[in-house]
Amino acid sequence: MPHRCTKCGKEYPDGDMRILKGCECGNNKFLYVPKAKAEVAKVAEGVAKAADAEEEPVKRIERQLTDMGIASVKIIAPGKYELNLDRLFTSDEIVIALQEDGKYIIHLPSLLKSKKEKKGKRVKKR
Amino acid sequence: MGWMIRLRKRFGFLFKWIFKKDKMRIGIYGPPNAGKTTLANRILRDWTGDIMGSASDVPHETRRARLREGVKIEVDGRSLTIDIVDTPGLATKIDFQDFLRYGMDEEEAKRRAKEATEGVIEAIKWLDDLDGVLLVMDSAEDPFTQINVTIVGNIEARGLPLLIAANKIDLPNASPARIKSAFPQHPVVPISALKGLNVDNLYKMLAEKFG
Repeated sequence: MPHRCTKCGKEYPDGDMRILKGCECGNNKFLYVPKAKAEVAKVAEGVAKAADAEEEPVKRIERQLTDMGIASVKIIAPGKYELNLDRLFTSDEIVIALQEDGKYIIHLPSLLKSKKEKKGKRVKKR
Repeated sequence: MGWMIRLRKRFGFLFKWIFKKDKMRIGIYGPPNAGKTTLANRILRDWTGDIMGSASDVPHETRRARLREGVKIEVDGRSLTIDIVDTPGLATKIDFQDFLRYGMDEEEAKRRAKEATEGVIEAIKWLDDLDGVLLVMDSAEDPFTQINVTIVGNIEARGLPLLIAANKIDLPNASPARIKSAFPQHPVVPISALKGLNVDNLYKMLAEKFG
């Protein structure tokens, strides 16, 4: 596609009648793009896509981490739960979201218990 | 403040030696079905002749953290006494329907899902009381998951020493190298807790990292 419209950027292949009649946008000036340059642009696009694909898992994970907002546990339905691990790791309080209707439960004991009390309860010796 | 940091850097080893704990409390973490309880059982069987709990193919078999105190490990003349905490598997989604195909009825599956969710919270809260983490990953699975990345990131943020056990190397499609390349900043020991492969090397690394 070596003929590019100087106004809208649309490209036309060699011998296309619209190069003579004028572009769809009404413009009749075209810039000739040499084949080599077009190929380089294609390769560059391919490399950029490959780089995106490599970064995809990181982006995917980041997106998943922010999906749950302030909730640390979301109850979708009885027996179906979603857990926001990052929030559970970083904060002491437990915020439970009920389904998806904007209702939340804040588990106050998780906020108010002293560290000693929590520790004592957790240790289950064999 | 600068002089304190310099002093700590210079004499850190002395500081560590003087205030060294007589025993370390190590938590075994990882996603469900990575082999945490199998590994805990392997360690206990090798050094105490006992076991930690039952392991199974059904995910979330361990739903409460279990503590075993005073496990003495001896490697190359060095001795290390550790408390081992076997934790429930960390997951981001728990659905009772996943348990139905293991022959459970709906009520039992829902109860299991609820207990597993509580177990995840309990496992994370245990981190406050640990001196180090042994992270178990399934080397036949893709290591680059939200769970693994989150665990590693948060353990790093807490400054806890971390050792990764690339488990299930006995499986034909196991690739511990994939885990090594995903987390190059941490030591990775390929093992099979079930078959006991390379566990001697794990004990050596445990003594080096946590001793």
